[in-house]
Amino acid sequence: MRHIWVIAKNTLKLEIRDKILYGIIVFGFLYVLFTLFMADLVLKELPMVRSFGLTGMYFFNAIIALFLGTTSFFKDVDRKVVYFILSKPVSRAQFLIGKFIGLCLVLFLTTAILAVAYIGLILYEHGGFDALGLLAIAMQYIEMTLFIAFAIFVSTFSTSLLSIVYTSGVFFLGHVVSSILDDAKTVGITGIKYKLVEILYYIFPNLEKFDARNLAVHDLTMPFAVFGLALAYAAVYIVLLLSAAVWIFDKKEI
Amino acid sequence: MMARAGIFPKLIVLILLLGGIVGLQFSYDRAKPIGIASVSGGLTPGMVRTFDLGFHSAAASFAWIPTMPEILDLFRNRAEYLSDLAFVNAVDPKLSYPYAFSVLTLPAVPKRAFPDAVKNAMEIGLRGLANADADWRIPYYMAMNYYLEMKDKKNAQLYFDVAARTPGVPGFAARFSLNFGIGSNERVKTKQLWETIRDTTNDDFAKARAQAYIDRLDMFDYLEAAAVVYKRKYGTYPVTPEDLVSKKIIPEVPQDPFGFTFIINSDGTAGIDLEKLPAYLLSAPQQ
Repeated sequence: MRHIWVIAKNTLKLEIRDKILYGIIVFGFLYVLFTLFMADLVLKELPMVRSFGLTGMYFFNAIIALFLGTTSFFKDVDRKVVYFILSKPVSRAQFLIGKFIGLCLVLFLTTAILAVAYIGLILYEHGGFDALGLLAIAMQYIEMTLFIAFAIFVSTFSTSLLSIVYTSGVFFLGHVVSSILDDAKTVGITGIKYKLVEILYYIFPNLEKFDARNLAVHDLTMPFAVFGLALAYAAVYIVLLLSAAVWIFDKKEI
Repeated sequence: MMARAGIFPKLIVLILLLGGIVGLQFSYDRAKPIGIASVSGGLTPGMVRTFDLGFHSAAASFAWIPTMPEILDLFRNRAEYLSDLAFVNAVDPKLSYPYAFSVLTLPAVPKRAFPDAVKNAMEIGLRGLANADADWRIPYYMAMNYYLEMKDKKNAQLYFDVAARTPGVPGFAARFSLNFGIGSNERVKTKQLWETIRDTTNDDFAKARAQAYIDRLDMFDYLEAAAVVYKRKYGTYPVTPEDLVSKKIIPEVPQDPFGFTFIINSDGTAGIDLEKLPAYLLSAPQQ
């Protein structure tokens, strides 16, 4: 456990020195400022201001998660850090789990920074604390940790560029597969085609369950059971992805 | 050549290039053809909902920004506003503002430009009441349209009542809605309309609500009749309803079903104290 924590801390330190990360955060901040302008365009309607703010937060967090998840592992390989660490009494599983926790910590910091900007924006525009918005941000964070786990998993057998492609693809599919399944039902698609979509629906990370944004925008709360199931889904999926990553990484010659 | 030059010439070159970019953009904006494209750009709401990664509210809000000013095009017989509004509503049916905005604004379009403006406004309002987040503005503006545009006081009363019961209704709107038509010169008509509603509805809640309005109008009549008795005895109208109790003309001041405080005006008519809001309205946003 101590080894995992040391690797996590080290990952955190390494990543927060990265200038690209700061660049993304600055753009995130600029977007929040831009939302102030957008708020005027929609006559400061709270649901619309919330939706703009949460959308910006989500996309910048997704970019950060994609950037962290798909580059961190390869940076360690390029800088030979991975050889140095694995020459110590540290298992490959500890290394990957440490990396995952470290990246989640970086993401937590960036999410917290953007969340403060968002909460400040709503406070400025409407004079109220957006607790439901904060819940939506928390759910986004959980989704992003799953996203990072997937990126780490892909990184163990792929190249940096392909990791970005695969992870982005899963991100997109993870969001649209629920709607596609609904549409298929509506249109009346049955048989093998429908089964194929259904298989995708159950096997691929289904990210729609972490979407509390539309609920927050309309002042609706997420039922506790749904929230709990989403958390459990994320936890199990992350364990699965990291286990598979460890298994592949163990087999890999480095 | 650039490498040997000093910082100043480089800066000049960069500024000139930037100026060129700004100039080109300016020229482009002047040269581009003016046309109004539909906000949907050929997409169907279903497609947007499938591929917007769950951002239905944001997608609808973004689509609403160019839709809102299109209402002005209705003055020029261009009806893109209605189709684009339908698109926004379909992408996120719960987003209430587009409905409220349309109900309020559409009746302002002259009939010669858009003869069905009021009819459309009311249909949009009904769509909003059925699908959107609870937003007092939709029934409130519908009630205003019924009263001012359609001269239909019965429906105006009904929708003002819906507005008054909507969570988050500001104090001023609730006060106006609950006290619509209580003036002594219009009370008889208001009461008749509530009686019609009570006697024709099958909805128990609506029946009880109509009865509460009728009871309240009876209370005004009761207080005014007592004030006349008071004047006959003492030569002047009472200053407050409590004067009627202290002089044993009535046993007690009736309780307003909506929580307002009754007053007696100097001409003996009964009304409500507009300064004293009921406790449940004090917690509502005051504007």
